[in-house]
Amino acid sequence: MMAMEPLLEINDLTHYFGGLRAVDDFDLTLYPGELVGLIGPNGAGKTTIFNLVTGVYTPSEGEIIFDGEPIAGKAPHTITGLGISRTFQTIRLWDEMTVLDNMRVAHHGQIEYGLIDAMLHTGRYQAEERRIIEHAMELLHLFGFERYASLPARSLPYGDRRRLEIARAMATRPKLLILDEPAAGMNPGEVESLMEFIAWLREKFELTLWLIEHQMQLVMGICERLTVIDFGKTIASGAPAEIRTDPQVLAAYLGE
Amino acid sequence: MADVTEITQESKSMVPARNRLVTALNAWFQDKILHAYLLGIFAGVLLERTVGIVIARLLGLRDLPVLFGLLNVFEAFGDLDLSGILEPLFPTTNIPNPWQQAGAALVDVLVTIGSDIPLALLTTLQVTAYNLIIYGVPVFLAALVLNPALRGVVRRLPRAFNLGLLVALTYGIFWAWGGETAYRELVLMYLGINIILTVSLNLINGYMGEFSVGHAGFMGVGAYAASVLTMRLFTDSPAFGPALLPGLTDLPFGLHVLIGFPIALIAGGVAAALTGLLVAFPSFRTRGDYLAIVTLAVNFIVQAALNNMEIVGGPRGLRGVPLWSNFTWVFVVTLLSIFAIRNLVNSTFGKGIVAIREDEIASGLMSVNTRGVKLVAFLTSSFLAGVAGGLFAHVLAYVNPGVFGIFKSTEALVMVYLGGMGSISGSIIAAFIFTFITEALRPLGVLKWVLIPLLLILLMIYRPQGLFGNRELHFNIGGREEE
Repeated sequence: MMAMEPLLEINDLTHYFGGLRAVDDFDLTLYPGELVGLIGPNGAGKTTIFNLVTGVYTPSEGEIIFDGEPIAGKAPHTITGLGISRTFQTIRLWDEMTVLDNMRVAHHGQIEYGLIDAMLHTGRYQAEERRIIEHAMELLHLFGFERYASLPARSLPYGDRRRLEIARAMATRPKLLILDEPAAGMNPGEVESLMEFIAWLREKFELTLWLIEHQMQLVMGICERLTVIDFGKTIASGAPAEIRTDPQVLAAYLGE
Repeated sequence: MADVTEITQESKSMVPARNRLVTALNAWFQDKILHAYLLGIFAGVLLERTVGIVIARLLGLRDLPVLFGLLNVFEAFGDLDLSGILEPLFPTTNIPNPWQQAGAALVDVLVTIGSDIPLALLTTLQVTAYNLIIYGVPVFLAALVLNPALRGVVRRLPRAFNLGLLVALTYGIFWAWGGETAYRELVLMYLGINIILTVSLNLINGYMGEFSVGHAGFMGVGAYAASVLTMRLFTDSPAFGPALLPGLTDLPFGLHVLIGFPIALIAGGVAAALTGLLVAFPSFRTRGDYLAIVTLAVNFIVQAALNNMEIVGGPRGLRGVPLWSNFTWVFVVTLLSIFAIRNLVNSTFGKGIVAIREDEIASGLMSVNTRGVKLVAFLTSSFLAGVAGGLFAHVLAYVNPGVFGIFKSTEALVMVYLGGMGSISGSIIAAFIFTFITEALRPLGVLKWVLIPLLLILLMIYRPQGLFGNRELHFNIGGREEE
């Protein structure tokens, strides 16, 4: 595995919110096909790292290299276009839009027609829209949402909304999928099926996955490697079994 | 995980998608083909052109009711004099007891209203009867007779052909109706301009969820740019000297208008779109109330600039704009604008505009170039406002900066909110209602500006989502879907 080119390389990533060092010299290398977890207590800076990588914030210092290209400070849609997609800690679907429209808009970066094509319904527009809708419906079919295509996204139950968010992220054709607490608000039975779902997703789309999660059942069950951070600093990294017994990790989670 | 049953409670702040009015109207329109209704209306208009005056006289009306009798009803109140009531606030002469006088004036007004009511009621009855005979009966009969007769044929025709047929029929109706008097044609031209303004503003306020309150500014830029272009090229004017292309005006069939007017309208649109950049760039960094203030500021900047440019007449305005607009021009441009906006918001690209309204951060992360989409939305909206301005200038043959102020912007806002944010058919219907009501209220003079804001207040209290919410009307236009 080490012989492969890394997919994502993060070096000395640092970010300040005012005087607060929210992320402190974070390093990580992800190889294609890996499934890696990022854990840590609340407020440790996990989501901030995801936001830095996906372009929501511009890092104060450090470099982020995706697929050989530096992406630190690029616009979110540019980074998504390069092949990083994500879900959110709290669901951020476009609630008043239909399920199908949620999927269609996630193809925005792939649109190859211009404004005039859209206004005049040219041949190029029609071919392109047909392709987008076909791909969207294919994904909806794969995720079992075909029947709900014309319903507003808000009308789906919570668990379905979580999965729809993943389906929408897949519409951008990512190489790396970042999941921010995918199991939030789920009971152990649901977490079990989510784990199967993630394994299926990874296989089906040949994805590299990076996730934040608090549910240890999921983290320990499927992640191959873990990074633990606290107060923006990396305090441990390694295989789940090592992390479980790391004294610094135990201290961070349980207190001194 | 699919069996999770918890349903999240959503806030009610968004426009509710359910709308009983639209559902009822759609059921009504799906039932019968649109051709039948339009032919009915066309028959009604022809009936009016032939025997309308006879029927009006038989019903005891003096003349043909011009705007479906709306004017006649309000004319009953035409002799109201409100100046006495307002005397204490704006004393013009030294009156010993202004409040007493104001009270007397108020009593006068109330007495006048009271004595006018019987006449207004009678007129209402007369014009209602007239409208039922002239329009109601033909539409009812057409729906009853023509629908079953034409339904089969219409279903077999290609959809594009049906659309063309309906557009031609709509044009025919307006043409015949507006051809009755010059005043009607003028109202129809205002109607088209109002539709363009409303639909283009809806793109920003409805679909994108921003609050633009300075739409008239863009209209003003378009009006001036188009006027300057046509005057400079085709007319001799004291402001710009002799025409640059005087020879063209000798072309047969008014060919110079056919070439010059679209160029002028596009130039007006482009100038307005460039002004739109003044709003588009700030929109990258700010939104909501703050962006609303920016749009207001741009409106004032435009007005101030026009007021201070001596070359276009400053506050006196620009006279001698060629009278090139006519009903056909306005109809064609309005139709093109509606189609452009409709196609845009139904495209995947255009749905990005709505996605930005729903969640801007998620939009960026789901590959929507949010700045690009905002830019396109603002440029498109201001471009069309500029085109509307160009049409407007060539209807009136005169533009002055005062027209393109906050009042005009407010009118556009009222129409958008009356129709419903995010509904194109709503915008069109609202432009109809608003244009006709403002014309009908003309006899009331200053009271008009009491009644229209009152209407807005009532609308905001009882139907904040507007008439159609974010739903669209769907007509039964027959025809098979073409691949």
